[in-house]
Amino acid sequence: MAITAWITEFRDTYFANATSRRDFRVQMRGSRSAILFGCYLSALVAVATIYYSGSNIGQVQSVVEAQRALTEFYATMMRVLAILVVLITPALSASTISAERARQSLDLLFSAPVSPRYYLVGKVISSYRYTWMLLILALPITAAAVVLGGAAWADVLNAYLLLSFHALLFTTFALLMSAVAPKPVTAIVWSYVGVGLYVLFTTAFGGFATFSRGSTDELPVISTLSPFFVAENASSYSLIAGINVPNWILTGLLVLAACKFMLLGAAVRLEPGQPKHVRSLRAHALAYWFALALLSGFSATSGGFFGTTISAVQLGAATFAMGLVLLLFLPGIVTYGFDDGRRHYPDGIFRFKKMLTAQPSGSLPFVLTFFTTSIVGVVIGQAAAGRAPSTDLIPWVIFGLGFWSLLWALGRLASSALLGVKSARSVLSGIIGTVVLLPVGIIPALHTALGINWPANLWMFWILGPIIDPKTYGITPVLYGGGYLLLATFILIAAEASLKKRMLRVRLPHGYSATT
Amino acid sequence: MLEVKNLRKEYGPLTAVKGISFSLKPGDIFGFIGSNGAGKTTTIRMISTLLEPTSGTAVLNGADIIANPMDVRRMIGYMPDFFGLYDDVKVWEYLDFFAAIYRVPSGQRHDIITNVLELTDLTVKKDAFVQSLSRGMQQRLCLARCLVHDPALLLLDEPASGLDPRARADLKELIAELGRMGKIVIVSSHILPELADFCNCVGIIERGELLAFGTVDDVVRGIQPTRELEIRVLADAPNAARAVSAMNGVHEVRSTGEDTVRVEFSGTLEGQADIIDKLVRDGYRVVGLREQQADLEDVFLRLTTGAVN
Repeated sequence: MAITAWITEFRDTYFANATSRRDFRVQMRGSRSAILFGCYLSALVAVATIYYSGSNIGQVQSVVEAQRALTEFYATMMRVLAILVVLITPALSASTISAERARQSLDLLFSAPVSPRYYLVGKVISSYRYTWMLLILALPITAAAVVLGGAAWADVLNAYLLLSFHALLFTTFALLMSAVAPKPVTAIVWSYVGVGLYVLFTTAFGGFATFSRGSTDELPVISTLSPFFVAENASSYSLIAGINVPNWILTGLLVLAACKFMLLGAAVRLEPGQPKHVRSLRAHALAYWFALALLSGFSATSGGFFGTTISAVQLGAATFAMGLVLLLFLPGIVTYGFDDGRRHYPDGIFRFKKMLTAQPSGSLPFVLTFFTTSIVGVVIGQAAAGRAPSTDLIPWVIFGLGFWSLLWALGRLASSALLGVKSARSVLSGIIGTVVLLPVGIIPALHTALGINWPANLWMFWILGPIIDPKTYGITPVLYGGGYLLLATFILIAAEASLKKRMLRVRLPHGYSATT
Repeated sequence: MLEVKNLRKEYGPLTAVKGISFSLKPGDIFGFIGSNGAGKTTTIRMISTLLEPTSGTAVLNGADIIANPMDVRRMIGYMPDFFGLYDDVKVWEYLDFFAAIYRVPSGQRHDIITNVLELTDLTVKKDAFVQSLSRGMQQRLCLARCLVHDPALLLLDEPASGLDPRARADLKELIAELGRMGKIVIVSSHILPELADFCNCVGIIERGELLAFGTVDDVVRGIQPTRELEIRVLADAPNAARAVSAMNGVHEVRSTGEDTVRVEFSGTLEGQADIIDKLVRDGYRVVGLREQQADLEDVFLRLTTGAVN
């Protein structure tokens, strides 16, 4: 019975989704689509023709040169498609949910038996299908490169797969932004900023990996995470446990995991009162993070996934640095306040069983578990690769515990002092931005511009100093971590004192008792 | 059967709904009356599962809004006070979309859409784009949307706002028809006389508290147990007033001028007939009797202070 219900739900969600059908009907209505597709194809043909005539492929006498020119032609066409994917996918989905919210039609949907999953999958399908139609329309032009000898069909297929993974990633990210942003314009801006940063980061690292690889196809997976190198890296692979795993498979897995995670985030935003979404989101975050840490530990020991073998100390720093992604979500996790629903009221400092809920007492357990998960994953990964866990990791564990506890305590203080969840989030975001992120750009710039050594000393006081400056390896992370823990304790005492004072002046909700 | 049990909603220190309880049975049309900000919409949104109650719950035909929100959603049709319609969608497509959302089998959708369009008098607009409809038609389309899955409970939040008198009368008739079809209908409105016309049950809410609940007559009687009888005689009204002052059910009598007697009366209709009979037998020449009873508006004004949360 349960299986039948699951099959029906699956079929309705993925193959008979009313949201996607309605969107498709609207997308295809009238002559708009035909005109858009016509313009799109004309632009592609124009680019191909101009490039082909400009490259003098027809006049090249040497077969080798002609082959190289055709390969370049194919790569260029795939880059044009990558640009289209980067530009079009956020535009297609960034305003969908926020526009429905602005139009006040979301309530009509969610008073019906529509789960956020059903709705979001419908939105992904409708936006993604449109992007796919654009990619398929470009197939005859890229196929010309195959006919002329610039690429093999397998390369084109792999490249299309990679591009479609990127399109899915950008579509889902834009949907997440659409669910989070208050207005359609904001959603569009945030989507483009996010996609832009992603492309910048992956293209910089992927480009370096791609153009420094020599003649081998063994490449770190980051090389296929950039949409701009799909032609060059379509056939690349990673060596994992002695097996050549195609990078498009790894990219697909990473993208699917990221998409699932982002859709869960969007579901939390769409139905904020449902604890099951928060539970699912946090559980997925821990599971994915553990898997990534496991892979990192294994790969960093055996080579392969990231393309190199690193020391235990470097691995500790790298694992910690990877976990910094949590900074993006920290203000939403650790703050609480009085300007929203019941779930933001303080209910204690540390309750492990509340870890997967949005209750304030579960925030510190979640943050520390997230961090611990990465350490455990790395250690198990190392053990699986045949390296005994190194005690060199211990300083990094202490450093991480101190670092995350300190930021949590700052969030707690902001929440206690301000009593408004929005204000507390803004303040903590400001603190994180100022203390953690800004020095990344400013201090090296000062260092270079002024040509003096004093900024280098500032690094020592900076919260992330031990990661950046190799000279501080060794016992220093322990000192930093211990210092942060001590500081966190003082801040927590101040936060609780402030909270108690304020709670006396606030009328508590019916049936609520604060157990701070 | 809808049972609302101690439903409460708090936003930080602000309590929007303070634990209200009532129950409705199939066929009941419940008029939910209150000023802006009184808690009507919050209550309706909690019953429609769009808003999580701080405490309390509501149970519709055995399904709890907190434990089984999806089961509740299958049984309700919710029409918010402000709603948006999709652009570039035709009327039948709009209804077909919601029928699909409610998992109405595709083979039945055509007939159901035809029926609800007929019920809401929108058949001629079947192929029109929704954005081309007038405000009244959009309201009716939204109501049609609420009906595609044959819900047991309709939650209509200010359904008559922005409608012209003709559209309002049509809507009133439609809601009455839905009540006759055995659906529970909750209607919130500011237009009190209209509610009294077709609601068999009303509730008055202010600052999140349900001040009165029951049939219109019960509520009126609850707040004003007596009614005023205005008796016109040809002459000698002061003596006529004295003549009836000791009768059963008469609380207070006064005369206005020489031809009008005003009686505060809480007796039965038989008692009312006895007053006339006595006056006639005593030789007073009665030319008319008018009964003045408080209406919903009087009750609302007397019960509420106009304060909001």
